[in-house]
Amino acid sequence: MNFTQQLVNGIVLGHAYALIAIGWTVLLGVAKLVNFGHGQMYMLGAFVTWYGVSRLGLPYFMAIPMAMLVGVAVGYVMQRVMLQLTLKQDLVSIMIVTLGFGYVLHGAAALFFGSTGQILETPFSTKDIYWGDLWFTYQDIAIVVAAILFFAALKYVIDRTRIGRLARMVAEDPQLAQLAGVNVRRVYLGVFAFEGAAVALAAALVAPRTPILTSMGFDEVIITFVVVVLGGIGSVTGSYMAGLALGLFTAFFGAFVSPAYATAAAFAVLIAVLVIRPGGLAVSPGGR
Amino acid sequence: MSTRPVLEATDLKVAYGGNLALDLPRIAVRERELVGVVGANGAGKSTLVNGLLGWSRGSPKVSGSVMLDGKDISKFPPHERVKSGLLLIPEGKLVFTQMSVEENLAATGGAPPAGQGRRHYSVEDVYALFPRLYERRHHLGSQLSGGERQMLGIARALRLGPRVLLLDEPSIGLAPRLVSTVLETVRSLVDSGLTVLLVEQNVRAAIEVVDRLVLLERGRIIAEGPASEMRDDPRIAEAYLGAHVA
Amino acid sequence: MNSGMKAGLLAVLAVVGFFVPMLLGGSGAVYAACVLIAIFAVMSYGLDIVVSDLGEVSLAHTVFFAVGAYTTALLSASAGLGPILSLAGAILMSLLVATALGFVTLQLREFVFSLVTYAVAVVAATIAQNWSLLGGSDGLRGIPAFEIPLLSFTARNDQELWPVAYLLLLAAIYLVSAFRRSRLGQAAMMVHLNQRLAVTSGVDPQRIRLQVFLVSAPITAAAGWLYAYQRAYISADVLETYFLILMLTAVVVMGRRLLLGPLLGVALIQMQEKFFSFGGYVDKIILGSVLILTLAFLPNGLFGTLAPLRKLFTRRAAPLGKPIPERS
Repeated sequence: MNFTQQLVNGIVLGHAYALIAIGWTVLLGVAKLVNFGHGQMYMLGAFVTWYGVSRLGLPYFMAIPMAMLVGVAVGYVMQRVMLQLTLKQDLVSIMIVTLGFGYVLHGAAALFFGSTGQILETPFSTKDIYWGDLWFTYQDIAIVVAAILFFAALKYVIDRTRIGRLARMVAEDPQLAQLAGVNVRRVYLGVFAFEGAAVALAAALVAPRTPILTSMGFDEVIITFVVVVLGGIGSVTGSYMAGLALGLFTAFFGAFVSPAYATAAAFAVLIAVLVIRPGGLAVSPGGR
Repeated sequence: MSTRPVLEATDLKVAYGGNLALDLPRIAVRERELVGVVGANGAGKSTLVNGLLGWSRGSPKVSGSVMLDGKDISKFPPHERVKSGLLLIPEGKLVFTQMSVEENLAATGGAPPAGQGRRHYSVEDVYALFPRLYERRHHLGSQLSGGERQMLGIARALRLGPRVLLLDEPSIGLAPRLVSTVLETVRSLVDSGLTVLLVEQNVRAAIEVVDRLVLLERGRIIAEGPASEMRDDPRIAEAYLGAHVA
Repeated sequence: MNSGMKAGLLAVLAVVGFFVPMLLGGSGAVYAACVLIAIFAVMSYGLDIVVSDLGEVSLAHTVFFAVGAYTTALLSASAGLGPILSLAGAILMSLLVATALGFVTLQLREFVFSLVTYAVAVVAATIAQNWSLLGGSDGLRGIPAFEIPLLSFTARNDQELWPVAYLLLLAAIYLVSAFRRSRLGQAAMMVHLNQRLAVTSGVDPQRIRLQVFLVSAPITAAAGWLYAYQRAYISADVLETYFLILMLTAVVVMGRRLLLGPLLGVALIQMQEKFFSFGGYVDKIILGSVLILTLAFLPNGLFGTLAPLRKLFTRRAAPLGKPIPERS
């Protein structure tokens, strides 16, 4: 495994991580909410895409929006059930409820999709590219391109559009936002629906890289957590950079030290950061 | 000028737990009137404005009706009341500290519907009223002084096209000279057509600018009347002395 | 009902409880179910004081359970130590892990704390799957039967293990009740309900959190200790989310800070799995849904909606989340 190959892996992995974390960036940044069902929603996105492609015979490009729609529905239902808790800012209950949802999704997915591993094959993932000594696939390119586009679009929306301003108002002070006529409930529902769509999109793009199981998702939560905290809670640019850094770290650690403990090592790094700087590298809510 | 009040609350009761924090048979604000609600700390002033907005911290039980221009808005959630033109400038948190002055002033939903007695203030109008805000338009909310934040709070509310403006203790934390400036600004806004309900702890400053004064104590009205009459009321002197000592 | 009568009632329940499996027929399956209920209830009691009293969501308690189980497995199978020593070892190891975890999370806010505990559990599962010392994915076998030669006591099956399980359960319940009456318990409630007020009363929230952790970890670890003997085999699946969701549901489904809440919660869930099961995955859906519905719609738990029974148990209504800080 040479250095440049790992560099390429790291860059692809980094963009994948950033993409997976994008829903949380908004969720934590805007609504100050945590979604412990994130990993299972990722799993669901992967399996719905797989189901669309391999069982329903849909083209990949149609399976992706289907997965995103399912994601939106799940996110919406979750927030609708939790709405009172969100408005009361009962963070403890919210955390446990999202954990419960993750568990239900796990059970439902295993029931519906079975518990054997599957491979999500796409027109991209099967086409290899060899460039000198380096190897990657079109899927990898798709991941990188999608991540960059998505992040750029998100930054634009948050900084320059009315919706972004509404989100920042609610992020900083939901009560003051209400006094300015903002329908805070709708913002919370929208944010959770966005999380559902974003994580499903990430799954559709990234899941083809490895076999998928209905019992997966836990590593994804840790990765997302590390990315969001290291990047600064609520910071779009920060999440992107942190995702990239984490991807590179994981690629090199996995290749040269141990693949099984890569996520654990990343988490250990996060712990070290948190011990030194307990606030994380947090940007204040509503910050860019 | 119509005789129907712009804002009228009847039988407004707010209870926390078993405790009746506010019990008002009637309170009303007429068109182009500046009504002042005064009283000591804990008299129920903030409970009143929060109750009118239909919003409060904690979980109070609110009963009674709130009418805006004769329309019953008692069942509307807070943001709907705001959209109907009932605006509150709360005590303390007045501006979005992470946004610039300009962004704070950007309206959330386009221009409010014309007519219905709602005053429309454009960004230019607001900068004309508060030149200081224009000077500091690129500064973040967190970089403004207390007086400037109060001005921005009022300016933000004006941008939303108020039918009635509720102000919750604008003088808190301001130097005496600034208090006069802020209250005089409110007075001139009313003179140019706005309708305002002002809640204040600083009786002395409030009585200089209001048309009518309402004195609250332990959630109940114990005196009310035109400012000129209330000036001579011994209970006001007591409240004034009380506020002065506190 | 005054405290004298209440204590009397509890004492009667404590004695009667021992005979429950016999009253239910005394078959092997009944004893197995009762032992498991006792073990899982003890496991949940550890989490109970962190969630209900301190008001924090610790998602790492499966780690304490696993630490208890693995330590017991290693000490009894490889080192040949008896149950009492292996219990001591399990408690000691859990205290070490709790201390490490407590120090690392000392300064962390609510949700960052919970995320860290979640991640610790996931990492622990990775370690358990890969570390040969812990048997890797095969786990550890050959845990001997529960035997205390000094007392000539041997438990070779669930029926014989029941007295041990029941005693452990009583001990856990007593510990939780003593905790709630202690100064530490009062301080924890203060920190939970109004952190600012607690600080101005001279209470150090971080130290309190650490101390509560140190009391709760051994309780859950003790459950793991007995689980090792009951199953005679321990693998990485003690770190499965199932146990976490089970604990959390048991703690909230009956109601806040009810002394017998976790026990009744565990019993309810285990009964559903034994008598109303539609397969493993549907059970997951049911369990997760119970957790969600309880928190979202029945914040006072099942007991909260059966008001008259409320009087029977010590209870102070404490919100699960922190209240919105008051403006001055």
